[in-house]
Amino acid sequence: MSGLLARKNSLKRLDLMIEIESNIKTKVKQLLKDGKIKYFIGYEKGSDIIHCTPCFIKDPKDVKKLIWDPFCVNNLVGFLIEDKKRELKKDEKPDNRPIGILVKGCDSRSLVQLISENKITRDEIVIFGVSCPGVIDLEKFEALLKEKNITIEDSSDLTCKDDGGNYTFKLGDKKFTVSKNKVMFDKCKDCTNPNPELYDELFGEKIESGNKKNYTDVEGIESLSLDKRWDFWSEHFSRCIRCSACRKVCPSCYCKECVVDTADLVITPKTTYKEKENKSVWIEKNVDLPENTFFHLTRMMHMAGRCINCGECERVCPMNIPLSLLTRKLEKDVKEMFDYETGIDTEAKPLLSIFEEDDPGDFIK
Amino acid sequence: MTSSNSIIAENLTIKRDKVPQFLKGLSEYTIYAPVQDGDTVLFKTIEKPDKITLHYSNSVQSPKHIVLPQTETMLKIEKSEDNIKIDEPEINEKQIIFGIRPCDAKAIASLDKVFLDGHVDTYYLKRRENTVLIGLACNEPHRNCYCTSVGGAPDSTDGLDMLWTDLGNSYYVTVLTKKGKELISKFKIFSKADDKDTKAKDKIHKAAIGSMSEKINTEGLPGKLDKMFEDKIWEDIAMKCIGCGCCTYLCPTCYCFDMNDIEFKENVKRVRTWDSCQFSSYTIHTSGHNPRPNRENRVRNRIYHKYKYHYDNFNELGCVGCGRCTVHCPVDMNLKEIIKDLTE
Repeated sequence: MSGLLARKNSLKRLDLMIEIESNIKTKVKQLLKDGKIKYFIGYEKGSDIIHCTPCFIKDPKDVKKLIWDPFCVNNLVGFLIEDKKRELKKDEKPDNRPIGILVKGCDSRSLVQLISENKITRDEIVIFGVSCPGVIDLEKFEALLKEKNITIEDSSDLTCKDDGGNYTFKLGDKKFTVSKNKVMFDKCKDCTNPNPELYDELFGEKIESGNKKNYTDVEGIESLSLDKRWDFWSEHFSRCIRCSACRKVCPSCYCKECVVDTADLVITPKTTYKEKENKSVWIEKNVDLPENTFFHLTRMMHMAGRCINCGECERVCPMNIPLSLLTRKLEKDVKEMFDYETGIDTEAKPLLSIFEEDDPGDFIK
Repeated sequence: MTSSNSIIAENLTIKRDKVPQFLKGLSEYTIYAPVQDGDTVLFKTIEKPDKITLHYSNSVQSPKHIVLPQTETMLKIEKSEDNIKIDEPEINEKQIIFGIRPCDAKAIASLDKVFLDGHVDTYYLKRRENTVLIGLACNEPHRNCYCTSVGGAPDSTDGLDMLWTDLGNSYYVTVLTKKGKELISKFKIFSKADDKDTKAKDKIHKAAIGSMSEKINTEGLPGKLDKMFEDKIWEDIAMKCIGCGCCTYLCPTCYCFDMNDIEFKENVKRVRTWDSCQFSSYTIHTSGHNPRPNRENRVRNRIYHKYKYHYDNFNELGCVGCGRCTVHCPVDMNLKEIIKDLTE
């Protein structure tokens, strides 16, 4: 992703002049032409020049839409699960070819996790891995533009030069250099796995990260008294509107039967009334602090040892609930208590399905 | 909506530094206004006028929850040994939404049609009658706004009791209804607007309209959709939709709700909560059959509701072009582009 990236908006499409992107395109085109994959999941230009959006390439002609740049933030892995959930239409024949997908370092760990949970098998996917120097947090980027009195309507072209520690952006005739740390997602700042754990094709040179996990923010919350912690989370959870964006964007939140749904989605025409009677409603639909708290904490409990901290839940939350504090707490605890890292090894058994005699037990009171 | 809506138009001005005095003088009302909350702007009840942010493009959540709460208790059923008591909540709080954007007010006017035309929803009616809407014209529309494409404008007066326009050192106040007139009658801090003020206001409104992004012609859209139910486009759109309810819960015109009886202490209360057509539980039948099993069915429904069903029922689109669904969509689904594709 180093070198000069140029975004051309003239055709409402982006044209990135970078080697990695062009290599990705060539390979995807070949796979599609040969009929080796059902479709390819990647990124294309979004609603404006700084946004990008997931895209699904079925036709080799559309390969030109694909982009790869520091704004490609989404974790695309969840779409693989969605593909499996989709009900076939009348007369529609199942297409059992693999799906191609573009993954960054963190996304690849989601994939590893899903494979280790037997949700996806390796032969169902063709993985295009890309070494990732970090992605840009649009909230930070837009705040920066505002600070510099630049509006993105100023130009239809955005170029971004990456010199390792800094980005130099050029938007029309406005040019500015900014330290990567200032615009990067927080999750990228202490990322220890920038390279894909699993891939069929690797794009870009492997990146030496040298980062160490920094849990200062989590420790800050841990050091608060129970009352203060409760106040902190009450304030955030009371803002929740239960739109489910956090749960739906999460690749690990794939259950068909979810505690959140008041109507039980695993009920089928064959479910007997006796079985229906025994279905519980765990979380009521009313949006208030007790139900919201129960929702978030239940979700988090189910994420222990499964969440790889891609940060998508926090990114998509319209109400700015700092969910990464919870997911990072899980990551920290799982590492400290069980010396377990999620999403590294497809052969590893999921943490909560194994028991070792020397596992700590003093948290059970 | 009600008789208080008889249109009058009186043009006044108020100096910027007198606004806190105006708000303090309305102590019998609960005042909701845009407040900066961390990185976001939300409509909240305010106790002190200095908490208000009037320089905002659009609040994250629309103020619709003030007239249609996300969770509303409709009745409580209390059981004693020989009696069952049913209590309905009293809704008599007088409230003001101060600084509501014209698109959000137009959305409330659209909710009025849903909840008050024909069958009257008494819960909504009581809240709505007790609410005064003081609008703030948009001087700088956001790049994702498209109100002018769907029958609105940055200075639209639909649903409003008053429209304020920021002139710099003062606000131009257009009083639109009896309700609005009554509200300010006791204040002496408003003065009659002169020609200069009116010209300044008109110039600002014109500039705001001029700064809007490209306008889409949505005139034939409901008719076009009529023939597109089985179109392939829904499958393409739905592929990237993750099926959350973010768009519907932030949308100022979405009004779908669910009702549940829930236990509290040993009793029961019936609550109405927002619901979203994007959730698969929205349409599931008791039998287990789901008529909208896939995302393409649900995405299609949302677009059909906004641009066809609502039009068929009320002769206007069910979208006010606030752009929230695009701005906050987790996968950057661009509704304006979708409408453009549909109209072409």
